[in-house]
Amino acid sequence: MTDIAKQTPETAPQPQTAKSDAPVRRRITIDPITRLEGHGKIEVFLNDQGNVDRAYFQVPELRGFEQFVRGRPAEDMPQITSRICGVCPTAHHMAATKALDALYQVTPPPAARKIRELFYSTFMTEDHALHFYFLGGPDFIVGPQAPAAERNVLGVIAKVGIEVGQKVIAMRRRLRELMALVGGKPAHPVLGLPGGVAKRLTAEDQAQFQQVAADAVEFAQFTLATFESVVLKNSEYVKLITSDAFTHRTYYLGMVDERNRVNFYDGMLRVVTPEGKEFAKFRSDQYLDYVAEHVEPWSYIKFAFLKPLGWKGFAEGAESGVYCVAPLARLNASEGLATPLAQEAYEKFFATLGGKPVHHTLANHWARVIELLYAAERMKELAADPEIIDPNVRTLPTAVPREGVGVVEAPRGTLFHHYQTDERGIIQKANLIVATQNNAARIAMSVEKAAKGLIKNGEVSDGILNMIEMAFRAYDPCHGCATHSLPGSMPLVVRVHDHAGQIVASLRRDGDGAIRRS
Amino acid sequence: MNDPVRVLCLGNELLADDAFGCAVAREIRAQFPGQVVLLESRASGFDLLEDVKNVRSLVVVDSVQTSTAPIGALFVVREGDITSPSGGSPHYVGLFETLRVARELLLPVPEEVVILAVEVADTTTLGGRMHPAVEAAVPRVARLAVDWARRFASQAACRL
Repeated sequence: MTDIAKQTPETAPQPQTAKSDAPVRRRITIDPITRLEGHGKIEVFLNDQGNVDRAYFQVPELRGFEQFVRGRPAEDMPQITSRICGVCPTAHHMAATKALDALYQVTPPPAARKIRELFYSTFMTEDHALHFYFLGGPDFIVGPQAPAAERNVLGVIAKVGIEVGQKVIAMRRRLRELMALVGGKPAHPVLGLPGGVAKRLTAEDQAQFQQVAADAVEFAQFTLATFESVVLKNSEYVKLITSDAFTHRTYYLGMVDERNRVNFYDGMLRVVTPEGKEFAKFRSDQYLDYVAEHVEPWSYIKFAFLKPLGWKGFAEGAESGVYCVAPLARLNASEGLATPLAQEAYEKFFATLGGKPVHHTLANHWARVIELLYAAERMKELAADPEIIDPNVRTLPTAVPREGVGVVEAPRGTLFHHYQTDERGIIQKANLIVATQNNAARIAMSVEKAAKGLIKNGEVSDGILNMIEMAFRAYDPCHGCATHSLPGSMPLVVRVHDHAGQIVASLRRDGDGAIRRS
Repeated sequence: MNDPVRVLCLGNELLADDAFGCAVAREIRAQFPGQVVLLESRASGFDLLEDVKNVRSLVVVDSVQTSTAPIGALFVVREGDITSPSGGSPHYVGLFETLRVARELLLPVPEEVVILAVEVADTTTLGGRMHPAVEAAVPRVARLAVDWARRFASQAACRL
């Protein structure tokens, strides 16, 4: 197997040009440093003592969104925005659909609302399961101290066994088949319309959902038991989760129902302080009174912060406007979960980790499994609801459109869509705040903390890659997620600059899992 | 679906040069209608799993950013010619990791994979146009993809 990262442009075989059409085998050379320009790249700047002054985590932003959508019919937004993201198109589709409801001032009939939430719960179940086993797994199932080459999805499969891996894939396939049944296709659905959904649910469809939902609940319980036996029974893992290196005392934001319980699909947005007290509770269309964005010269991403507190820099505590979204934040910002098994797990979570709120970033993995159980149970509840097969699934809009905001809880955190149109419903202005923007300031703080812990007097430890990777993996940030260019996966690169700005060390994890310096 | 050979075109038509795979799929449909089993996907990461299953030979059309070749240059590679690190999030998972996971789980994945990838300039500008050199590569890569599919099909026939 060729190690592409080792090859330099000079030594690499020359590519065949497009002028010739003879099939010729070639190799590809990719310089991760170049490939990663702005893609998950970490820049560390040292002071004159060789200790960390600042560390930056850079992520790319897709360019031109506002310009692209201006002048297009608002009804196209659920399709356009879902095509932007290759990872969570369903979240964009649903946020856009809800923004259209608001734009056209129309309330979907009860069956349509339930179908949407059922569809969305199916998506959350599928996404959370995949993330836990295959993507978060390397940190806990394989273990933080395992050799770098094993800390990947193949290492997870080796640890849990092929049968469990196959079970995950089979469950996922069944969930995606249900999504296709309702949404037309599993990715890039065509379900949402202003005022309802494009397809009703039949009694046969309902029966299929009931069967899969029952199995999904069982699967989620199995997953929670796996987490508890692998992680919670290992005191080293628990120590790691609760260690200061992965702890930030910030605000938390999440969507809640009328009883302040987590809801992925709809509700009010609730913010709690670092002490766990309610700081604000607001409707989606009030978000601009509570959320603002800060720009830094070194990053494309805008850093969201709580507007009433203002931007006070990358700082923790009650005075700082930095807040956090995603599974841990949702549990912190709520007062419970609406389904019985998940509620039991919710109570155990806080009892084990010392009460609310939990500030440990790595606890996101546990919170995600608890949410997996909630999503599966919610699926089961909705699938059993007799009203969900009511054929009335659309309220036709009659009002003149002007402005609409739609918010959902994506797997990776709160997702805002905001559109303004002319009276014909043609987009004049659009704004999205995605989960990673909400979390960007806290991610930057996590990266800096890891860098400060592992770089002393100019000495850069290889362990910094593991620490940083673990810190941001828990947030599961989005990075220009719609592009498909090979190789698709992205190595983590850390560059360390001295006080004069010169690069003194560059570390990256290569295809074989080894850490290399240049 | 059980196909002896499949051409899988990856890309996103909304994102400048990332539209390359979609453009090649259109060209194949127009110039070689019904001649190959063609699949077009905008998905990424593990969402590609279903697209790479149940086929003996796979021809993948995609874009690549190596920054070592002129824009529009074509790379023809086999799966084993590329190593890439494991991803830490769905946003980091690529085609190769998906194939590795599928093999590890004993899923029916292709015995042979060839990748036709064209060097591109920009894959992050929404609504951006394809670079002229990338666009110029579309007809040739479409023909090459069909050639590879035929070659795989005839090899399969010889083995029967």
